[in-house]
Amino acid sequence: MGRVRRAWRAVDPAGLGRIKPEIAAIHPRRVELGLIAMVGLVFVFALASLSGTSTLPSTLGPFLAWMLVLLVVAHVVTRRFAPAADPVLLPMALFLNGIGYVMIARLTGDVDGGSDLAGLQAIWTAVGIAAFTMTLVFVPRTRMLTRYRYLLGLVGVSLLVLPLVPGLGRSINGARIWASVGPVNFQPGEFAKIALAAFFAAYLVDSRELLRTRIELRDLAPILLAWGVSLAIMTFEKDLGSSLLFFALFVVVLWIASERAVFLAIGSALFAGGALMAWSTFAHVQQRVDIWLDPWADPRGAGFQIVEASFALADGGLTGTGLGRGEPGRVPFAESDFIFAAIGEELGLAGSVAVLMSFLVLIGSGLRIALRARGGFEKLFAVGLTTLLGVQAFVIMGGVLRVVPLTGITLPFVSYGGSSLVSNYVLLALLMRMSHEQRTVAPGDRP
Amino acid sequence: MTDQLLLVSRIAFLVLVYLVFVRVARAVMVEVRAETSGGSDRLSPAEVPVAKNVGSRSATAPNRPSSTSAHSSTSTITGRRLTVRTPAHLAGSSFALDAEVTIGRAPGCAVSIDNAKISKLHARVFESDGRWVIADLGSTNGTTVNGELCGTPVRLNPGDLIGIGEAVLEFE
Repeated sequence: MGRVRRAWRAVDPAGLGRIKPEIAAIHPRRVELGLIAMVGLVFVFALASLSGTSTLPSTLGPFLAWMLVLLVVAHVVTRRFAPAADPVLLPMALFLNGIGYVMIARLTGDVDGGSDLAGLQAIWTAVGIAAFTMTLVFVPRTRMLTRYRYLLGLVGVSLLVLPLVPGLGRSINGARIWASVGPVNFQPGEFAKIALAAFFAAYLVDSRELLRTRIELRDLAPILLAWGVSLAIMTFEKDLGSSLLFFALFVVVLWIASERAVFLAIGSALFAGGALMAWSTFAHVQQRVDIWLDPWADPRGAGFQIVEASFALADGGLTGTGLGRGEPGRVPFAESDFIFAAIGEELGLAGSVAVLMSFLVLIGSGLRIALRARGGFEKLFAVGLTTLLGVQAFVIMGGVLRVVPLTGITLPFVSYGGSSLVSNYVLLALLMRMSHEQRTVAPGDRP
Repeated sequence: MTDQLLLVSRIAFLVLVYLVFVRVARAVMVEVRAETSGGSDRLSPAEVPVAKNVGSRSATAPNRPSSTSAHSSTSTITGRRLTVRTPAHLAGSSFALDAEVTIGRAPGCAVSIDNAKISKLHARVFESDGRWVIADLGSTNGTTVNGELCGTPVRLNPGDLIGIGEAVLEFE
């Protein structure tokens, strides 16, 4: 026993732990490598089939090589820092990122100011992989985050209100969700969600025993506070998507912590009340609902985006028009919020379902990590991160498909955008860290 | 390129995409299968050692090898503590686990917490086969580990939260 441990220590200076024998038999990293190789093949095939069109940037060759190098880097990083982690998480994220990249590169000639998008997205992907690496390196144990619970809570709330600070905040396309520090514009809310997920998990894990046994009026204070804050975001930042995401995160984590469905009911009731209130008070909310109910009332004006998206999806049919053969550029914001419509047009139902399945696999893996979690904090944190990913994907895809009223938010890993890509890679790294932890025997643990 | 060639490449691309998902599905299946065959922290009845403080039963197992002495030198056993998280006025107070520990309302318990929902002799934490284990001692309100009521003794992992009445202890 002592000799085995010493031998492992020699190859494991980071002290990340020893892989459990039953997991080692499956070789998660070998499975992952196989999947990443296939994802790379899909990516190369997609870009190659695009080359028939003239809309591509001339420098696509280097970008292609760059993205393939990033796939390999992500895999090597995982091998080194989270060798036992679930093998499907990373390939699915890279698949979504790759499909998104292909669509963004394809849209280069079709959207305003699109000529730089492919290059910028390649850089953002690199920054995302770097953030993924940093997270795995600097968070060797997820539990250490509980030490900074109040700091994380403070950081989360500060990031949420940052766009409102005069001089820093900027309003782009009607939503005040941007902050500018020097030449860099970013969406602080994308990072706030992760900090808040950690804070909620750490906070609720302490009080969950009490939440479970009884329910008093003061126990409702946190949920009312969360409700108030998300209403405030909606009012002052005009950001429906983040508001919904933030509230859903809190209610789900509270529900899992307390194991009482009554919180889910209270949360839904509060949400319904807030939504009704927002609908009757704010013109921009009313407009969103009107467009959702009947985009054809004003197909050239307010309903233009949704109408064009519906045309695009209808044009795609079962197998799509083929990459580079459609006109996805007609939909405003086809490269970010409406990228799902572009995928639906050129890859058809088959391609859209592939995107949906990727999210399904990611969410399934996330919930499996939560189920297997050793500690209470890890369980709640994994649930929170998975909820963020799932709700965000649902809200925007549902918005494009007219299942729910449209709220401007990015499709995780797919949409163009640095903040979104980087924060979602951090989220992925945290899930993989937790997955690694529960599949290893930590130094000092007995197998 | 002709239209037919385009159609072929379009279909080939989608087939390739779905081949990825076939592999993913296989990988997930393997994962899930490995999980369901994995071990649980719940002790089977055969593993539950006879309680030392139940005098009349100790005679029934005289030949049982003392697992306590065989493994007590390993590092997992030593250095573990129980730290109170709630109630607030006791939060942070910590109890080293060096031998069997009883938890309850009675002053004689190693971890004595005065609370109406805690039984006089509520639960005990003992070492079995190299692991710390918690067992409920027939308390009125039960003992939970990470929110799960433990009817049978449960092995403890670092970070587990033990609920005793309205008190919460963390095993670390």
